[in-house]
Amino acid sequence: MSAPELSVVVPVSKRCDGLAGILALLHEGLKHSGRSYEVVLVVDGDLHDRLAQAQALAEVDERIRVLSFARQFGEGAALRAGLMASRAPILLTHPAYFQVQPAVLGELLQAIDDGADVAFASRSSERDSAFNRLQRWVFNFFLRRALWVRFRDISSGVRALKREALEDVAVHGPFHRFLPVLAAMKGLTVREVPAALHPQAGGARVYRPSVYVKRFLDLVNVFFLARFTYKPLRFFGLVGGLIFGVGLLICLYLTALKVFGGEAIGDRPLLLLGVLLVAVGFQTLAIGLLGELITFAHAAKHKPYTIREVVRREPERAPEASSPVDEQPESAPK
Amino acid sequence: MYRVVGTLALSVVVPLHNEEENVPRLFPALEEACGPMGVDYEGIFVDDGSTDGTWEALQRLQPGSSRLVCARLGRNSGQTPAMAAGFELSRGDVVVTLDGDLQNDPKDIPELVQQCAEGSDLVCGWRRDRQDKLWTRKIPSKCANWLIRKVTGVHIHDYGCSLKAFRRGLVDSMRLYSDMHRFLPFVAQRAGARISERVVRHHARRYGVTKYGLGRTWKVLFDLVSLKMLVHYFRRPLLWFALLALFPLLLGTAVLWAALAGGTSGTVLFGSGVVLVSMGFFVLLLGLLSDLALRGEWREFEQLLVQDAGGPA
Repeated sequence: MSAPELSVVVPVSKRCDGLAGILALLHEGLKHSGRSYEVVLVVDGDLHDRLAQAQALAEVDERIRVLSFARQFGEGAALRAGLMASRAPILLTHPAYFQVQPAVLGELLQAIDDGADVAFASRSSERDSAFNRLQRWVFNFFLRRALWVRFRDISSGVRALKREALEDVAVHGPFHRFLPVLAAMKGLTVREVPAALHPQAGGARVYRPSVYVKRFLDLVNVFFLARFTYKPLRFFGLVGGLIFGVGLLICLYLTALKVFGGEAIGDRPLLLLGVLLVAVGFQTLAIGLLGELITFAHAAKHKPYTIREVVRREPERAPEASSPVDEQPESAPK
Repeated sequence: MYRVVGTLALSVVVPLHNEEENVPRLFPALEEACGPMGVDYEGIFVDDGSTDGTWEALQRLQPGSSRLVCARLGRNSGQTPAMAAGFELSRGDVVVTLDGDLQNDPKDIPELVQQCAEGSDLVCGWRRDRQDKLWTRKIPSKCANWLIRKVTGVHIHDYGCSLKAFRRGLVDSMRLYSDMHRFLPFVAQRAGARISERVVRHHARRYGVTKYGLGRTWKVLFDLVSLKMLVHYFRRPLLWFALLALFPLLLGTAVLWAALAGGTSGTVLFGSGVVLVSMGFFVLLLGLLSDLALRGEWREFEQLLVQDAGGPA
């Protein structure tokens, strides 16, 4: 089978609204796109009935491929495995549950055709439950504050991207949730496509508290990675410098009291606070320097740029000592 | 005289970010300046993820005497990475870098190349008569230059000038990332390069907008500290951290001693000593950790140093 024009990756994790229904939605959404496509179902671990379902579907439809994990690795890992196994130049991801109307898929592909590197569905909140709206609003609020991006809703799993963009937004760990943001920070063109909710989506979802804590830490992590990967000292230096500075001021104040006022400061808790702040600030700075060393050591392995396209053209009047060069545009080296 | 190593005499690398209006003016100026040199040269224009018509403008250029290489980066990566991309594509014995905003004048290129041929591995442009705003650009720049000069010990006047000429061997031995272009002379010097400078022309910006602002000052400061450490202590990080740890360890010990021996002061002074000493230990341990993190990586760096700037590519 030759490579299709579009790969749809569906990570099948614990939350699943029935694969047959999802596939029906995909087929409906892509019916009018005029592209050949494959569907990669990635079953995340020990979910035997789902794997059987997926395999049964693959039996009757040759566009469907099934991958499965030996144990549960999470939705993000499933997504990544699916993306890596897919073959088409354009990739579409969809969760194993209903989120948006099928027509949105076509709009996402249209956005990609119009030049976007990444397009994602941004759910309108009208018909969603109040609790979902609230938690999404809070999440996106922090996101906007922390990362200075102006997206309304990034957490929907319905996204389209070009294969070239994949390397830039390597969705390692739990960061698949932040894919549009990571892409935007890397300078890729990201388009937000407003999407109507699917009729079956939108029941209130309450997660365990640990999920919220994890989500918040992910946000902090992404913030750090996105802003300071190449220059960790800028982050640690700023934080450490502030702490150090406050500690130093306290110590200077106490020293002044001792020297000019002749007061005994050895028993003042403020002294301990000052010294502690100086120490913490100093340590933070030292960690930043360690970060710089690590970054520098890795700089040789990771080029900070990718060359997308090269066009070479020859001079009109060739000087005498000309050397052979290739004329045709080169494709980007990996 | 320099040996012929590349396949061309000269490469001119121009990183561009949203310079649609300047491209059609820059290119003829470049050809006008370099054509009369009578050497085989190439112009390398790197479009650093522009969102205006820079790439289209590049496509419309008609090469007269130059070989033209237009490259487009996958995304906006910053000036230094764009420059590194240009270096990767370049083939000239001498590589000249130039800003795409027409504030540098291509007319200076032949002189820089000549000076390179006379035995410099790196020739830095010096914008003695800078045509920029005094308070937001010139004075901060003066301070930054003074600071960089003090910290790095490389004595040139203008670190921020993009107009520079590199010899091939130096280009191949430098590892560039993030905002390193300001510190290129320092990196080059550590690689054993012979550095000289030359006064170049500077014009006020006519089209487009500047990409610099005062907000980057603190970044330069931290970058400087980190680079100083990297260059001097990359192979012996423990030494660096041990030096850092020395101060709190000594001070902490003194405080502890005072608290214990004096007997007059209470627990607070003693506690302060404990904090300082433990911080010193902590920093020492970081040094050991960095040894672990860098295990094996020093080979790479060693290679950089061995590759003499004037040596074969």
